[in-house]
Amino acid sequence: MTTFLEIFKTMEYGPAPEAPDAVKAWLDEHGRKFGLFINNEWVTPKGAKYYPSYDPSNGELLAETAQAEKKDVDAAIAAARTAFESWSQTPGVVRARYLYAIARNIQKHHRLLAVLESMDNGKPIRESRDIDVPLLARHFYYYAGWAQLMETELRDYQPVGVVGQIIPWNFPLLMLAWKIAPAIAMGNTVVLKPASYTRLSALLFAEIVAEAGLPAGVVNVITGSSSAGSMIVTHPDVDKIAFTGSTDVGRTLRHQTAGSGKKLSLELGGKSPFVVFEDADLDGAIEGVVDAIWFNQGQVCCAGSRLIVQENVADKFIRKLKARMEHMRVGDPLDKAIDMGAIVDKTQWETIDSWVKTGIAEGGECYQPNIRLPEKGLFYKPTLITGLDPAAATVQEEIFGPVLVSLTFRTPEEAIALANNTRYGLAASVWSDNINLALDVASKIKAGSVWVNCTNLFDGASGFGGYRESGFGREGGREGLFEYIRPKWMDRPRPDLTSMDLDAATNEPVKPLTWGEHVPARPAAPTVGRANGHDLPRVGPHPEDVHRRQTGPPRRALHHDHHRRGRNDRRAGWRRQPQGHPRRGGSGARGARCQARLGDASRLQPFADSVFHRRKSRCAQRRVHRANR
Amino acid sequence: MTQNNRNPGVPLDLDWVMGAHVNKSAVERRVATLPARRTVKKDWQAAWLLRAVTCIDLTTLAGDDTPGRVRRLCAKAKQPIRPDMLSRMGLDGEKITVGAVCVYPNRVKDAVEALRGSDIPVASVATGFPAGQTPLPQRIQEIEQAVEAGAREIDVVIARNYVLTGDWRALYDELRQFREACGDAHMKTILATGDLGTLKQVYQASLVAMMAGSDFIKTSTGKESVNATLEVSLVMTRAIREYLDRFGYKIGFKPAGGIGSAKQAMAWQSLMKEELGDEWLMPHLFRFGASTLLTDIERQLYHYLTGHYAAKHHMPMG
Repeated sequence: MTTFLEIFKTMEYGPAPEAPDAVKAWLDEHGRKFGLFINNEWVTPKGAKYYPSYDPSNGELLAETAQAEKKDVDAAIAAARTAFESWSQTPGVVRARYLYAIARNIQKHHRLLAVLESMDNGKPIRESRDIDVPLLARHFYYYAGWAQLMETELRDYQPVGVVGQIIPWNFPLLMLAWKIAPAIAMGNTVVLKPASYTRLSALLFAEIVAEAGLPAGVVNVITGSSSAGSMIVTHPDVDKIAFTGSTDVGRTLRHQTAGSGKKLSLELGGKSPFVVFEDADLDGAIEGVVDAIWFNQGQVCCAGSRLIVQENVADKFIRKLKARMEHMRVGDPLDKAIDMGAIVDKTQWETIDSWVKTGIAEGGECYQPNIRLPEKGLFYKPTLITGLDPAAATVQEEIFGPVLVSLTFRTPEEAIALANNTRYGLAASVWSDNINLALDVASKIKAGSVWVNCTNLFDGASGFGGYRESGFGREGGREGLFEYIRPKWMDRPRPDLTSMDLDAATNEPVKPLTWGEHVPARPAAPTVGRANGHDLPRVGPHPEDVHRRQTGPPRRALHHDHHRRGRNDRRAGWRRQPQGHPRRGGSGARGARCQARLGDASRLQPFADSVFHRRKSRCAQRRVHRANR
Repeated sequence: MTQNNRNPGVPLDLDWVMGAHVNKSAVERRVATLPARRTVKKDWQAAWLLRAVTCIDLTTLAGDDTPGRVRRLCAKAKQPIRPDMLSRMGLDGEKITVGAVCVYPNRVKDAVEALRGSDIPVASVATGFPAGQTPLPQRIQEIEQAVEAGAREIDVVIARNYVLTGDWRALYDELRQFREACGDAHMKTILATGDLGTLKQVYQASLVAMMAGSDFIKTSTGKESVNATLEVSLVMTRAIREYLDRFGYKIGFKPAGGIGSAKQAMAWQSLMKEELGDEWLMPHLFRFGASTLLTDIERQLYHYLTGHYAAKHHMPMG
């Protein structure tokens, strides 16, 4: 035991633990055993297998959760489908009240959520308390506003339906907020599967949602292995899949949903550049590096894991960085005065360690500060690898741990080239005190988020997502809404898979191709009424028009009427436009026919959809600006 | 003073001053997260607070200071924590005093007399404190008189006009003369950061003050509308680190003005420990310029020992 006098003389930090009592009581109340949360109730599946969840900082068993099977997944999706009937018809202003209530209840249970998150995941309590949980509440507050605005700002859109959401273990609560908040704000219902390493905070969240009074079935949480995830993805009654996780799994999901008409958004890996110019505040940039790569033990998809420093300040910068690393504190996640907690799982720890060894084998110089780690638990020192070049695998591959690699550059062009020399494109950070340089470089780096003179800042109002192999779709902000709505004129495409030579059960090509087997296409003999796998559009007057010309009002008058309406009330006209097809216009009957035709051409639709979104969103933004003035 | 290797000053390096970069939002972010990243509890908190007591420059700088008032302050300086509380902390044999007593030049004699027999140095403000808008000969004379009266530390104020107009050479020359006048007394240079326009100017003024031979750099006089903030303190400590890196001299730091609570004091201690290291938590390199801080720390220590908060009148006044 350290004496008072010793502390007075050495001025060491002591332990500053956050109490885990409330979390333990909550776990005990559930008998440390959790079922699935379906229809606002705990469901204990018959004969279910249970899977343990450990605290990565000390290896203690926290609780066991049920492994969902096919019948459980079906039940959850059925519950969500039933709830969708009424939830999607509920006025936006009413949905908003529920979202506000959820946000307030999150704040009410702030501490419980934060402590559980740190125990389950191993992240420092400072981060779960000051970042994860406040952002969780913030997302619900933000999207509550959009629920209220949907009928005016997005009046030509409808919810997508039942949404399957699969989230990762690095930010269990934050990822859940990014997914659930916009989905239910727009009138969808949700089946969420938390990651297999971290399941407990999502289950606590489910209870909080029920406490807030959300109707049964709107949010359902099921736990299980990756096969439960697959069951959600391939379930025919799921209309949209939202996934955050590794690029490999993302690729599988794209494959599994292809041709099914399901909407898909993927937020995948990254190897984000952290670019420091000679005219940056170097001390400020050092703190930026700490926030970039040692936030959440480096287990962040947008972690700034490639340090790219201008050559003439590189030595100084690395020296400063090493000095700063000596001040890092790694330890008990529940200690309020630590910078890094535990790695989530042993497998991850081993992967990180093997990458560091690879880096050394590739000729890198590895630096780890001389700091104490706890004797037990999955802790890893903050690590810097210098002296590597882009050709090294350690520089190209995502490590997903507290490991930073550093490169140098000579000119801004080279900095941009190095920053973009990656198959990912999730985020980037640019440091310079010259605004021209910083903004120029920021606009040329291909990444979903670029931070200037800061890093890893998030907010509900700010969209987040990737380029390239970092995925597609955006989460957060107005742009995040479009993952959860589709135009009212559009139904979910239900493509005819037989025409594409796909097996309807697996969506896989009927005849598998092997490397080199592909033969370039040659012109095929025409068949009547079909080309390129689709029905051809009809040429000549449509029979209905002929019929109308004979019986109904003259065609010219119809057009004239439509035109005048648009002129007198441009806004109203603009809003009415998409009720048919935007380019074809016309009566409801023709709109419906267009839908039917487009339904076949499933591959065309997301494209038309996105062009349309962009055009609309700009107009709507202008309107919001006007309203704000 | 235990500082063996005193900063003699170095020739003015204008390139270094002009090449400074301080990013305000990055500074603000560091300052916002630092107190959330570091905290001390229980025994550690009490020990840290007691350490903070030894770093206080117990200050009275008012128009109504009299010999009697200064005597009373010095008595508190010698015995800052109630003896019964110290013994309950198991520190009976330890000599716990504040870092220094800080007064106006006219009161130095009184303070020296009152502190006779203790090691506590007397610090005197000088050079036309607080505005520094007095002719140079008088400002230098003020230092000389304070040193002669027995002040071992001189808190000089800089002429802010030189910083605001970017006349670093003039600032450097003036401070060199101050330093010469100080002789063996340590020079603590007050930048009056509340009067300076930007954090970059704070950083630049810190570099010039150190190159001119300051032993300490100090944020404020306590008389500006904004005094010590964590932002300017972060910038100044980084300048100290940079100077140490280049020339190997350890410069002290003194935040002054507006630090009235134990919690604030601990935030500054964390800042020193993280940005500079443990040595900058000790009185030879770190001081708080404060008058009300001591009482709040005493109350916190009382709470640590008894579990109850005491009213201010339970603590002997200074």
